Amino acid sequence: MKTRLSKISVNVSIMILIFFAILAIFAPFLANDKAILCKDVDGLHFPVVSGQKCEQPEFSLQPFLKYHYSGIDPQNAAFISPLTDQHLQPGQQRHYLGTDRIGRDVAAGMIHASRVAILTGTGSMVIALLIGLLIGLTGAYFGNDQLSITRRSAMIGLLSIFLGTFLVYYRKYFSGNFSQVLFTLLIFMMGLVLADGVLKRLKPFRKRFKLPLDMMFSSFIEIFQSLPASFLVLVLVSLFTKASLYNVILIIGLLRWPSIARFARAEMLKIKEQRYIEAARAIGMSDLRIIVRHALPAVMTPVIVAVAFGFSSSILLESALSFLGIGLPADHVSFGSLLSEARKNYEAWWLVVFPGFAIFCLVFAMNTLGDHVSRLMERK
Amino acid sequence: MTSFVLKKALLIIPSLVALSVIVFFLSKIAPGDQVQMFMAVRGSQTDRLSYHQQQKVYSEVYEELGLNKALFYISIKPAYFPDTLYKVIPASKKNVMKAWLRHDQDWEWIQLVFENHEALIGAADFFNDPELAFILTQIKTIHATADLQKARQLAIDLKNSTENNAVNVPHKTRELLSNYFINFLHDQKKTQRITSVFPTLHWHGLNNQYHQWLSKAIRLDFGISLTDGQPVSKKISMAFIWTLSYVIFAYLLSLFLAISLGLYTAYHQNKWQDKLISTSGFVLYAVPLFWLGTLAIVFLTTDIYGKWLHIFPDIGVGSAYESMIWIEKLGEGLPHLILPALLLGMHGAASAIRLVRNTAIVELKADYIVTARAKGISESRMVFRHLLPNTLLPITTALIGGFPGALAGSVVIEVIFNIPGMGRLLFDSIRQMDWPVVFAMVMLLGVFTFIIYLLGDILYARINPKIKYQSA
Repeated sequence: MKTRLSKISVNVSIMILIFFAILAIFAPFLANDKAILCKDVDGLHFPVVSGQKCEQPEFSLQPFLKYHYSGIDPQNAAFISPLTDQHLQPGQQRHYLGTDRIGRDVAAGMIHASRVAILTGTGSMVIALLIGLLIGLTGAYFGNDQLSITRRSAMIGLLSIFLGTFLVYYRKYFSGNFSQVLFTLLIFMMGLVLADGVLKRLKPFRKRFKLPLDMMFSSFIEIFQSLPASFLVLVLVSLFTKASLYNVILIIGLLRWPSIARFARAEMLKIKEQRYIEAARAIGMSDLRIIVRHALPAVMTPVIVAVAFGFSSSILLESALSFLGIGLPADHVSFGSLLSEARKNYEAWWLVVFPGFAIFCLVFAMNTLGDHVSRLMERK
Repeated sequence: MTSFVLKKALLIIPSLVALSVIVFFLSKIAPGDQVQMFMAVRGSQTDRLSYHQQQKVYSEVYEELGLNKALFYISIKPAYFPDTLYKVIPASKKNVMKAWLRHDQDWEWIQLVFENHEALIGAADFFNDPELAFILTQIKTIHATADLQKARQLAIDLKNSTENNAVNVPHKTRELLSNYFINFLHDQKKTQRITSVFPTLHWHGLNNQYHQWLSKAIRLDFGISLTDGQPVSKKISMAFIWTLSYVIFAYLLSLFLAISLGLYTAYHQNKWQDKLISTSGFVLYAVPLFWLGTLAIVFLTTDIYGKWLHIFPDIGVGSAYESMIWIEKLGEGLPHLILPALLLGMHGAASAIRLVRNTAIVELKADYIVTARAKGISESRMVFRHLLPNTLLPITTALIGGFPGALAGSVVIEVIFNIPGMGRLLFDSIRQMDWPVVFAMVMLLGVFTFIIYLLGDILYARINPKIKYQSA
């Protein structure tokens, strides 16, 4: 569908995303109670970066908004509307988007919140991409009968996974004594090498068997996809003793990979049959090289669709979590936490409209781009 | 067909076992002291008791909850690790012991020191001597210090001060005290063998926490809630009724909207109807549910922005009293559930419309549609007899699989609309660290999801002739 409307909406979406990206990257320079640059008797200072303040500056370059997202303005506490008269001292900037219950500037909060949102989307999608591509590509590439290994290497592999997990799990119990750690590692390695040597001699362990990688991975994908993600994120995030945004990003990333894996798998199944992969195999290229150098670039187009939708859904999830106030620190400011302030006072419409509209714009832009890419693919 | 169903059902069993193990171990890493909360909910008063008696009450509850049992059937630990550490009560003592063990790897010495410590406390409770009590608080601090180096230093300081001041303590206790210091401070140079860190396997038998939890969970007994002492299953079943009562409506609404609008837009592909509906669905899909809910509450359930907009009743579930039976409560609450159900249904439909539309567009180009049209079949018959079944077939599992998600994903809606359903219960339980309720819900929802998916697969197999022929 190549209409003018869709063209406009794609362009608008790209502009929205660039706008939010700029807000996210330069957030501390756009809204801060410190100056970006100032000059006093000691010379030039960069208060936003260094944190030190200028006494009696000769000149100073102030940020666009002179409020920090966590700064409290007690004069304007208790939900001051952006449209009414605000209790401002001479020289004080207006609260362009109003304030919340304890007098924090909503506009500054919004700028910081876009940073949080972009960080959540990017971080969780990086994690999801790593897992999703690994599982989707290898599963589809090797299929159910391509990857055959000897029983010996399967045994040794399982054994080393076991020993590795054991060491990592009980790492604290070895850390008191460094030589012991080293010695244990050495002994484990030697044991593995020895076991390998013994198994090599035994005939039954030299037999090869086919690993049904695709079946294993696709049932794995299916199980993970059937889990109600929002429910699980809520529970898992609350298990951390210390609330932090990074936990939320990690958990969302760990639960949002199946759609990426599915798209990657479907595309890989198509590509696998094509001549250039066959040719690459025929000249003796290694599997890893084929996957990374030849399959990965071709798979990326459909994967981008999944990433775009995943990006927006992780932003939605994070804002829902901060709306509920679960798993995130109490002083955390994001679109969701701003919106939850509105529940304390229904008359504060600016706390409902602005953050909600910002989430909507971000999500809508991301979804439009994803949709656009998938249409381009269909046409091809 | 039967073999297909059987195969699918058998595949669920390992998934369920894995689910139960994961849920169990997650419940074990949850923060907070369950024993303390359990004591609080039972109303045990421990403030006036002495330290020793407090410990005793604590230990009793600890044992009653079965926390002094092994976690699982087997455990794999470094060889120097005692296989009876799990029996130690309370958890704080266990943690100090573990930390010391980490440092010294000498379990016998730790046991000896802790035994001496207990004996001293017992004697002190007996004599009730203030000077002795002071020393004992010092010793308690030593035994609460995880860092063994620091604990040793504290012990040396204490020993010096008692010797210099010649504290006047009863003879028997003095003996215990000197014995304690000798044992604590004696310079043991036990050489560690390298085999002491090798992994060893312990078998704990059936009398373990997982087995106990699972055998109760199968009978739907998840213990009591740590906030109000009610049985967990009772709390969940009441919340389930509330959630089910509006989620079913929302789910059916979203199915109806998705299928009808999806087919309609596919049929009118690229015409203005399609563009209007698809775009608005796309827009709605990008609206966060909690924003939609908050907007709806602010504008539609209050008088703040005009009386004429106050269409729906207030949030909450009306005046449902505790004494009412559930059917009465539902009758009282249902009018309040209309708005949340509408929102949830519309929001759910927004994404499903695209799915139906895209599938239907592919089907519309298929040969059988062309043939049917060429034979002069009426358009409505073509849509309902040919297009509809063939469109729904590939997306049956996806549509049915949305139901557990809808059941679980209602957290936000229930919190903002103040409905005492599953989502609200989960939210409250998480905030109050009422873990038995949380993990019972995770477990039940997991089982429910698997069952729904199995049903979806069976349904798919029943209506899909391809599978019928394959297995026949």
